[in-house]
Amino acid sequence: MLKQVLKRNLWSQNVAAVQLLGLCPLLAVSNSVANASGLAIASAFVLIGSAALISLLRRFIPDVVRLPMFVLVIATFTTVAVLIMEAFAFTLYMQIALFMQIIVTNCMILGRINQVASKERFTVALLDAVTTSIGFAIVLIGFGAVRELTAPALPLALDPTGAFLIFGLLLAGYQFVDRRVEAIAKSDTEPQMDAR
Amino acid sequence: MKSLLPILTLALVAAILGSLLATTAHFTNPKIEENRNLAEEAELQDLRAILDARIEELNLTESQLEECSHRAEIRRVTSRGYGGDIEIAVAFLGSTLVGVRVVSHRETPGFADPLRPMDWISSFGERPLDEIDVVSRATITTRAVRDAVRQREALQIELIESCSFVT
Repeated sequence: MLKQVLKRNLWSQNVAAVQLLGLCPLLAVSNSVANASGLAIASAFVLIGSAALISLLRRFIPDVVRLPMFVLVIATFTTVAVLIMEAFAFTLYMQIALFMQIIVTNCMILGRINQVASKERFTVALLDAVTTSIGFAIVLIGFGAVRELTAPALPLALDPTGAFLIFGLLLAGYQFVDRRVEAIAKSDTEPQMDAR
Repeated sequence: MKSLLPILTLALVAAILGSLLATTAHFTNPKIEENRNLAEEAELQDLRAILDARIEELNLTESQLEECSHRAEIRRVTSRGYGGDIEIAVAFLGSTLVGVRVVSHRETPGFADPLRPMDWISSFGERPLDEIDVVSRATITTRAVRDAVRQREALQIELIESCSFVT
């Protein structure tokens, strides 16, 4: 099961690369690895904390106030993350404060909570939140690294324009690899089918 | 009664989360305050260095510095930017503008880039005020700073004039 969840949340259903959720902070903050890491950690903190709490409370949450409850929990964890970062990582905070605050509206987090944490038991919800966070972090930090590394040769990479272009190329690369892997997997299984 | 249950649950959770937030704020506040003060102090330090460099450049003596026309001063002004108040420190030598730094602001990251030292903000004191244009794409922010500095300079000129007149 772990393997399946890992494959789903890191690759085949990656929130950022496949579901394309949470792209606003992703594009805005990925101009350096440091900023990207800061947002990745903050998002992970919020997602894991909220998912764990919602999963524990899921039996007590009345259906009609489901969404307000989720937003309340997510907003609390986000504000806690912002306060901690402002206290202990002030320079980073100055760079990404605004995008930390809008984690509240990140549909990646609300999506995972609505789909998984509010329905599954604690361990399942926690595992999903952790793997989703890792999947998001990989895309965010990887994207940050690409932008930071290409910036000396291509200053455009640090602009919003460059962000869209590079992200588009990365997505294309992802699709290419994904299809290749799928094709190889298919050709591996086909001869066996013939033999039967 | 039954319809009240969701409301009560929501209120209870809100109260618990609220206290969690209050606790976090209570413990992080002193550190946050310290960080903000340090950041402010760094900007002011920068401005003092600019002022000192200018004094050295002009070879001003102690007694000259005590005259109104050459008095070194750092004045604070507040201007309304896009995201809230912008706290500005303006350095004067007499009525001459020497440098400007933004001490604190709540502008959107990226759009506040011109306010960083070494950026647009450094052109104050280096070029005449009426030659300094606002930066397109950060128009509201930079205009707020420029206008506040202009106003403060006008006031400074008036003050220095009346001061020189008295002495």
